[in-house]
Amino acid sequence: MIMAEEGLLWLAILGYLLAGMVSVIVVIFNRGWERILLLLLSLGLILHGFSLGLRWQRLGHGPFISMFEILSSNLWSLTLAVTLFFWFYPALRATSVVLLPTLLVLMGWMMVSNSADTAIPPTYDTIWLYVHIGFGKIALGAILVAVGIGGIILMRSLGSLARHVQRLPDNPRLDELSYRFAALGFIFHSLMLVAGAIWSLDAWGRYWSWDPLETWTLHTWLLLALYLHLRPLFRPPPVVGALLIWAIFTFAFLVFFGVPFISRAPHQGVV
Amino acid sequence: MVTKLATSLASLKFSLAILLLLLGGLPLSAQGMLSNTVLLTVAGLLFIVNIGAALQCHTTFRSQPGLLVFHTALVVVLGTAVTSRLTYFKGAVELTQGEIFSGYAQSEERGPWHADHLKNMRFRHDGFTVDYGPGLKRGTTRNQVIWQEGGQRTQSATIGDGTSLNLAGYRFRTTANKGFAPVFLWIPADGSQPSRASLHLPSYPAILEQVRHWRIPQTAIRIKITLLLDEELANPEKSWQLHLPRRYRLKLETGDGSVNVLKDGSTVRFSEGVLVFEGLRSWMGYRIHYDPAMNWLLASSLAAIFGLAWHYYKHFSIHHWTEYVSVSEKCVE
Ligand code: HEM
Repeated sequence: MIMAEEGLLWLAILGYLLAGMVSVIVVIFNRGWERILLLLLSLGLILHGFSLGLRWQRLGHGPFISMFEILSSNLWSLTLAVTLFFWFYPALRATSVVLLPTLLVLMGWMMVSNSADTAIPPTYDTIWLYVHIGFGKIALGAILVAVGIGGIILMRSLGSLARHVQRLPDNPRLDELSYRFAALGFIFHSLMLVAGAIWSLDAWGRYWSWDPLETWTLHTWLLLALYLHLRPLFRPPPVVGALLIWAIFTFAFLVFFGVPFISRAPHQGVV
Repeated sequence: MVTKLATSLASLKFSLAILLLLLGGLPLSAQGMLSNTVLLTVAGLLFIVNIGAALQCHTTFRSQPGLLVFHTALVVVLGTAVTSRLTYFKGAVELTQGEIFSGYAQSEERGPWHADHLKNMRFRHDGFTVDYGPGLKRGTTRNQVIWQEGGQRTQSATIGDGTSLNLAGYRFRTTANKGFAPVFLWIPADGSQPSRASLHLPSYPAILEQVRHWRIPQTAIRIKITLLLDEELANPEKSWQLHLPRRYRLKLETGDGSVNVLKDGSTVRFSEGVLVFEGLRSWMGYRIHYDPAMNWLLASSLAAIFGLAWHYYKHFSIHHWTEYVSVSEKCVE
């Protein structure tokens, strides 16, 4: 069983790596290999999904206890978000050159983290856990897509790379689309906070305890609110908007994965 | 003059300033350099004034009802959050099996406006079991509690993990902190009133060595107590259930080097009096929470999210999402 899990995961990683290479070929060498990209990503997702499923079945709980599990399940959900985006927005598949390296960072991190078996604390036995994590994954997925679109705007501002993405929609339109995904991310981030508070109340008897993850996640939410307010207030040019969403994503990424990394468990008091 | 003040108060620049205050203050309060209650109360009140003025002044809110709902709900969220900070109570208490909660927590933290009704709360801890899996992994906790409703009708319940005991808004919940408690009766030789004491041994099975030092109250007698378990309880290899042991003895060592091994009802004589070991009970550590604003906070947060989703739905349906990806006529340099 463990062998099958690991084998599938390695195959999925191979698929993701190949997809990463294809994305560079698509954008830099201007080859129309976008379908291959989509195929590789979908294949990676299926294999990775099976690997996660086998582990889930073997351990009797979902992938959300250890750093390895959190990274693995987020790699899966974020790749799913990116694949769906490519599916519905074929014209923007060039964003893969920005999005896939981000996923590869996550993958590298996952590969160096400890994949030992984990046990589920009794407080995790609630539906709110799934709701909370599900909303969080959608939020991060939407923000990642916003980042990918913003990445094209930033590439255009870097002279040498600009010509590879010239044929894409113009900056104001990309900016608007990026903002829409960020707004979607904001709604789901809010839902994640509320669901998390309900779970926390259920599990530990308080809905908010200012543990490091809660505090820094609230910062991410406030930064998104700041970003959404800056638009009507200062009408920032697309490049500034893109830089802002990049900064927020980097922050959210570090909070999402970094804070649990430095603390003992995703949330204090879970054990 | 008044309009100018209202406009300044309603300005989004003022919101940004408060947001920056909050973003800067939260790490400081996490480090303990700034009171969390003060920071949140000040920022919350400033936001309430800011949004309240904005709801009056900004015409955007009249044309965009979703935004109006969102920001109005946000005022309620902030109002309830501030109320919560000012009135909350957080505490902890340990109770021996059979003991009635006295109304006082052993450690506590409270908002400045907390009206203390805890002192009127009573319930009795009536024992517990906890399931453990291999590797001493804690599973389900089942703790029996008994209390009186309306001062008469006796109620009982099993609490633990996700289920707490709710008495007039004070929620008592079990913790991983629990263990065994030998109960002693001390009968002073001078004929004064006997007194009973239960000693909470270290949390079990977190600490397997069940030892405690104790000075018998109102005496200079210092003793060391060790619980000797004559049956297997904690087993890291397999699943087991934590309950009160049936077979045990208590080793009692005094400063002068004498050692007594006690069973239920055994006595030890000292020149100042007689110590009777009455038996072993369990003890449970409870956390106590009180937050009257909680339900309001949830309702207003959900209303805010609804308003926001409504706003964006309306806003984004004007132009379909795919309109932004048709390739532009002009190239972008
Ligand atoms: C953390 C608290 C806040 C959050 C999360 C928040 C969120 C939002 C969001 C998401 C929008 C919609 C922007 C868009 O259409 O993309 C918005 C708009 C707006 N907010 Fe807030 N807001 C907050 C606090 C405030 C405060 C304190 C004020 C007080 C002035 C305010 C005033 C406004 C105004 C006037 C608009 C409309 C801007 C426009 O489209 O012209 N907001 N807010």
